[in-house]
Parts: sequence; C-alpha cells; structure tokens
Amino acid sequence: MKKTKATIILFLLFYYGFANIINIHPESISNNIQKYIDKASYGDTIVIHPGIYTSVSLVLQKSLHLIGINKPILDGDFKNELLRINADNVTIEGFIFRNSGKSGMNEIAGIRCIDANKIIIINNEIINCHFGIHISNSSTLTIQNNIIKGTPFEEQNTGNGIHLWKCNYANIFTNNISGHRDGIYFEFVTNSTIQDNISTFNIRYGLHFMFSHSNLYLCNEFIQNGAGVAVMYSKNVRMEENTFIKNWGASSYGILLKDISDSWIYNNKFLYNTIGIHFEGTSRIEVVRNEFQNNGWAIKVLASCMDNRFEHNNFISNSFDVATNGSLSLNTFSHNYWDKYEGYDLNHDGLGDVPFYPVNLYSMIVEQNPNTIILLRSTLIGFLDKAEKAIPSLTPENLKDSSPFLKLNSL
Amino acid sequence: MRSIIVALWSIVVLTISCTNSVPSPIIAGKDSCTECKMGIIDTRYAGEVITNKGKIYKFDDIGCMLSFLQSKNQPENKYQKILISEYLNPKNWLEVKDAIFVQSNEIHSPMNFNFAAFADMTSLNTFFDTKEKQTYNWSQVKELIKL
Repeated sequence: MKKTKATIILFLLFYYGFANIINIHPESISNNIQKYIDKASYGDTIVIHPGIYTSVSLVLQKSLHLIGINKPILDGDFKNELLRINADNVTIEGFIFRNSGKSGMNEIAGIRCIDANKIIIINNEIINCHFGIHISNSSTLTIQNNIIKGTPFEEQNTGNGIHLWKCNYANIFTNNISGHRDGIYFEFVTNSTIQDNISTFNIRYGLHFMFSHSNLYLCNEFIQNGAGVAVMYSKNVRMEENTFIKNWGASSYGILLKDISDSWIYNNKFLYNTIGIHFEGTSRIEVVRNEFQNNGWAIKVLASCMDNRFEHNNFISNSFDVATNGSLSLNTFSHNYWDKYEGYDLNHDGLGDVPFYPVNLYSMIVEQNPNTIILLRSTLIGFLDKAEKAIPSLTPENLKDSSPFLKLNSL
Repeated sequence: MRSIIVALWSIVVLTISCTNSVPSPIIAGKDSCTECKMGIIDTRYAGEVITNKGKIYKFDDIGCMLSFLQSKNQPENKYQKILISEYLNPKNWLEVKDAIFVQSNEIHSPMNFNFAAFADMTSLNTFFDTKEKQTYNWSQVKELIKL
C-alpha cells in the first residue's frame, strides 16, 4: 500500500514537476509560434531564438513561460493584436513587440491580458502599438523593465502605454513609456505600486488615476507630458518622491487633483510647470516637503477644497505661489519657505514674526479674468499688490502662513 | 487719417466677429473639459455648449456636459446651442435634440457614462444591433443621468 502511494506521488512529481523546454528558431521548419503554444503543456517554457517573426497574433490559454533570447522581434504587420493572455501563471520575457493594428473601436494592444492572474511581463520592448500593455480584470501582476514607445500620428487613435482596468496588486517598476495617450492609466485599480518609471512625451497624462483607491506611486519621473499627471475620483493615494518637469501649456499641470481625499503628497519636485498642483474638490490631503520651483502657479487651490495641509514646502521663483478663487480658505499653511517673504525674525527662532499671505491681489484678478495675465509684471500691478498688502480687501484673509520659514526647508 | 479709419474699421470688424459664434471644433490634446479638467483626446464623446452671449464650453463626455448644465440650473433656451459629437464622424456636431443616443458597455467613454450619439437610425443600425440596444432621446438621457 505504502509502495503504491509512493509511486503515485513520484509519478505526479514527474508529471507536473518537470516542465519541458521547447526551442523555436526563426529558421525552424515551421516558425509558427502558435503551433508550439498549442502543443505545449501546462508550465512548459518556450524559448524563442533571435530573429524576426512576422504576422504574429498569439493567444495563450494555459500557463506557459515565453522567453526570448537576444530580443526576438514579434511583428504584427499593423494588422492585429500581438499577444493575448487568458491564463494564470504566465511569464513573458525579453521580446520586442512591434507594429500592432490600430482601431478606434477595439482596444488592440501589444500585450493584452484578460482575466489573467500572476502575470509577469519583464524586459520587453513594445514599439508602435496602439495600446502597449492592456490588462483587464486581473490581479497580482508584475510589469517591469519594459520600454513602451508609441508613435502618435493620429492623436485620437493612440491608446495608453500601460492600461489597467479592474485590477489589483499590480507592481509597475522601472518602465520607460513615451508617445502614448496616457503613459500609465489606472481605472478601478487598487493596492498597486508604481515605482521608478519614466513617463515622457505622452499626449495627455504621464499617469492617470480614475476611481483607483489605495495606490502608491513613488520615485517616478513625469517629463513634458501634454498635461502632467491626473489623479481623479480616488482616495488613499500616496505620491512620494516623484519629479514633475516641464508640463507646460494652457491646461497643463504637474498634478491635477480632482475629487480626491485622504492622500499624501510627500517629497516631490515640481519644476517648470504651468501649474504645479491644481486642487479641485479635494479634502484631507497632506502636502509636505515638496519643492516648487519656476512654475507659473505653484499651487492652485479652488474654494471647493478643505482640510488640506501644506507644510515644510519650498516655494522658489514661481510667478504665483498660491492662487484661489474664493474668499474663504479652509486649508492650513505652516512652516513653508517662501522666497517672496519680506518679513523679519526678531527672536531668531528661524520663523518669520509676521504671517505671509501667499495669495496676491493680481492672482485673484487673473483667476476671475484670465485675459488680464497680459499685465503680468507691469508697474500698475506692482502698485496694486502693494496697496492690497497694506489694506487687504480682495484676498482671503485666513489663507496665510503664520510661521513661514526664513531658510529653505531641508528636503 | 486713412490709417485711423482702417484701425477703427478693424475694431468694428473684430467686435462683430466676437459676437458671432460658430461651434468650434475640438482639438484633441489641446482642449480640456470645462467640468472635469481632463484633456480631451477622444473626440467621439465630446460635447459643446454655446451660451447666448457666445461663450463656448467644451466637454469630454456627455456626463460632464450634463453635470455642468445641471449646476448652472438654467432652462435650455438660455443656451444658443448644445452640441454632441457624432460618434461615427466626430468632426460633425449634432444638436442634442436631434441626436439618438445609445448606452453600451462595449463603448468606453472617458468618464464612464458610455453614451454614443448618432445622427439617424440608419447610421446607428450599421453600428449596433438595435434589437438589443435601447435608444434614447435627449430628454431620456437627462432623466438617466441625474448627478
């Protein structure tokens, strides 16, 4: 009895424990990868050797590991989807996916995952595809070290670089994304981390959150995207140590926050943006130890925001430090460094003795009538601001930093 | 003297041209939605409101347009035009009163309202099987989207 049990276990071990390795060369008699995929059994590894494989349109419906050696090229000839994964436990490593089809109606992607869990996509290049990686209804995903490059000929027809819909536990690390609609797009995604990615030259946003709660993004760089980064209709989002550079244009932002609550913005850098952070309908957000330098507006806080805290930030060389559109402010500012502060510190505690009012009269006028921006830096405006400082009338009285730092906050 | 007259005329022409309001096309990637501030990329779902004074508001989704109209809380005749993109030909504006709407999960609008507007039943039938899909007119859409 014991013996038969042991043989059964041994048999199972042999059956499932040792997966096969299948090699495919471009000069193989049949280099049709799909045939090999169909023949392979659960857990096998398919090794694809360097070369160009054309008219690729693969469907993976079982757990397999696809490994490319020296980056074989899988070309879709501008016709269809390159790879569709509809299985758990799949690894895709070391390929160049290029030239997917384009369609306004279907979301055609380089790599598309549907109802797939435990997926690893690593070290690939996805070039000239409609969507780069499109994942829906999946969990436990690792997307790492990929280069995703789109060619936005027709803006409307470009998809997102990495597009996640209804996913959770996704880790998106060290990818480089450019030339897509949104670099990274999250819709109904929870408990995920976006770290060390570079997202540049995307048509709309470098990163876009919609209805995605409890996510973390840190140490990413967002440079010269159409409108920066948008975090909308979400809560519990941590945004730390990111860099937002040169998001410049009529409706461009470092970060656009719309209807978000209970979030943290720590240690980020905002350089050369039209608007550093735009707050609209936000509450309970902590903005701590960020650097705002050379922006048009460092922060714009609309009257619909409340209980946000701004502490230990540095405001340097911005045209406007803070702008708002209401007369009442329910947000607190303290211990920030403002380069426009002209107060004094008689008791030498490092904090200014008179409060600093970061909203000036002119920014209120511009908010109400954007065309007056043409008067920026004119003498008239200089006089008006001085007069307003002496006798405040239009600027919100309680929007002030009562304890401004005289020296730069060390970040 | 002549140059003064020319200058005066140009002012007159400019002021006239300001009051004359034609629907303005949406430039994908440049324009942004008045309501949600998102950049408009997918013009198939875009909408536009022109007030009687000629001011133009652009929207990325019919939901944003309705939320804007509801927040203003004015009768619709206060607006010169309320327009929606024709789904199959996004460069063309339709008056919302004339458009036929379909809601479907197969289409994916920027703000998840997932409405598409069509000019007539024939163009709709080329795209959707209407036996399965219910169609709506503008007032029904307004009833459906109460924000």
